[in-house]
Amino acid sequence: MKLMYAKTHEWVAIDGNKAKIGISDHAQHELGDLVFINLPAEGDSIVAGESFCDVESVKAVSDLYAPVSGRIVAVNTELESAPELINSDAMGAWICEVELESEGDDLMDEAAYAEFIK
Amino acid sequence: MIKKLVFVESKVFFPYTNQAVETEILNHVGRDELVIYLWANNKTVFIGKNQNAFSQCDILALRADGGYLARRFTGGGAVYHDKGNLNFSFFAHRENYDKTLNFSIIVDALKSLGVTATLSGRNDMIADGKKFSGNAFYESKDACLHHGTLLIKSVHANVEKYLRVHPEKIATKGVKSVSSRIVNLTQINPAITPEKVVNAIFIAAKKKFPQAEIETRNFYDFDRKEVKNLIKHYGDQNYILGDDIHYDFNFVRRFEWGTADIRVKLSQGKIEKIKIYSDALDTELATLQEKLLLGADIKTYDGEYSDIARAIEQALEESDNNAWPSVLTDN
Repeated sequence: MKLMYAKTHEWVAIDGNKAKIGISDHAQHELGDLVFINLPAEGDSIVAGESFCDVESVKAVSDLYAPVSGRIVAVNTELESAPELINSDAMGAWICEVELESEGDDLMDEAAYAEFIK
Repeated sequence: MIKKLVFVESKVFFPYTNQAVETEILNHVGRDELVIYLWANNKTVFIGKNQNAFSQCDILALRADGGYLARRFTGGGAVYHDKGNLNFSFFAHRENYDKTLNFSIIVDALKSLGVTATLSGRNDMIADGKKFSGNAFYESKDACLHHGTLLIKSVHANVEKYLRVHPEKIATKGVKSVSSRIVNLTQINPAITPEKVVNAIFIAAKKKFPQAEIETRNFYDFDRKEVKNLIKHYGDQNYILGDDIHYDFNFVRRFEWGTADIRVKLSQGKIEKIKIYSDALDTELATLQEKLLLGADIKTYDGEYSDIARAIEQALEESDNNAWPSVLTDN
């Protein structure tokens, strides 16, 4: 499994041709307490670099951007009634899983991302 | 760096047009621009992006009085707008986006009109300890928006009237509103008018950026076709009242045969799921009622989504005769 990060602060865990997507702990901290998430739908295609989901926190409504391209095969519907799971465990609270087509440009590994957010 | 200040003042009071222009500005904000858009609406209840319309607003009362219901694309709770409430929107690219700066422009503008305004929490501005401004934010990787209300001489009674939430209407999902003690700026300084606030904001912004180029963009200069499409989008009942997530709602009603807790999920105007919990002695009744209502086309009833609760109520009143509810059509 390979864990990568986008400049827009989403993480992607790539395992073979499947990839799970979430947002980084840094991102959840910047957003503040989440009160709502508009989840994408199973079967939707997402495109790297384009918005695939949005979240409402106590601070703002923010778009999330796809770190990879692919077709969504699973959605973590638990987040619908409990978006705060992203605040408590950003790396565990995956948003959706895709059948991977291609990775986005400029993805960073953990060390590079840690440097990026410094 | 901000090199250009752009001022836009709305000339209309139709909420969906003002929302359309706001979105059009957001979509085209220049990299070195700070755009300030000032607008006011006729009687409108504005709900947050992720709110359940039914649980936040007395839609029937609002519509009966000729008011509009609108959904903004930023978060937070429901607010009431009328011509006595001025809205401001600040737009900037992410690298120039600075909420603190935006707030300070408003605070400076009000100071010039004799009002001492302070921030309260993340989203409110207060004067004399009472709220006169609620703020909401949208952030993308490119353009960002900070917008807010300014109560100048709004009719307080209407806030109570339309934002009064019926206790039996409990949203199962969605963001809840928080009520606050509010104040009109004219209660602090009776000489204040929306026009004076508009001018004061533009002057305060210019003082922040004395070197910046100033452009006043005409309200009618925007791409008409795009604005027209956006007006359609913001006025669309499916958008305002919500997709199926927002549509999950429940309400409790007393009938001759007992009390029922009714939970409904709609899809494209039809009842997709319904669950009725009742204390009726006839235990089969709820199951029969559910069967009668499932798939019923609510949209055709008076053509208004807002009548859903009433339509279902009426259908259930008739259903103890085991008759087909006359108010609903089966498609």
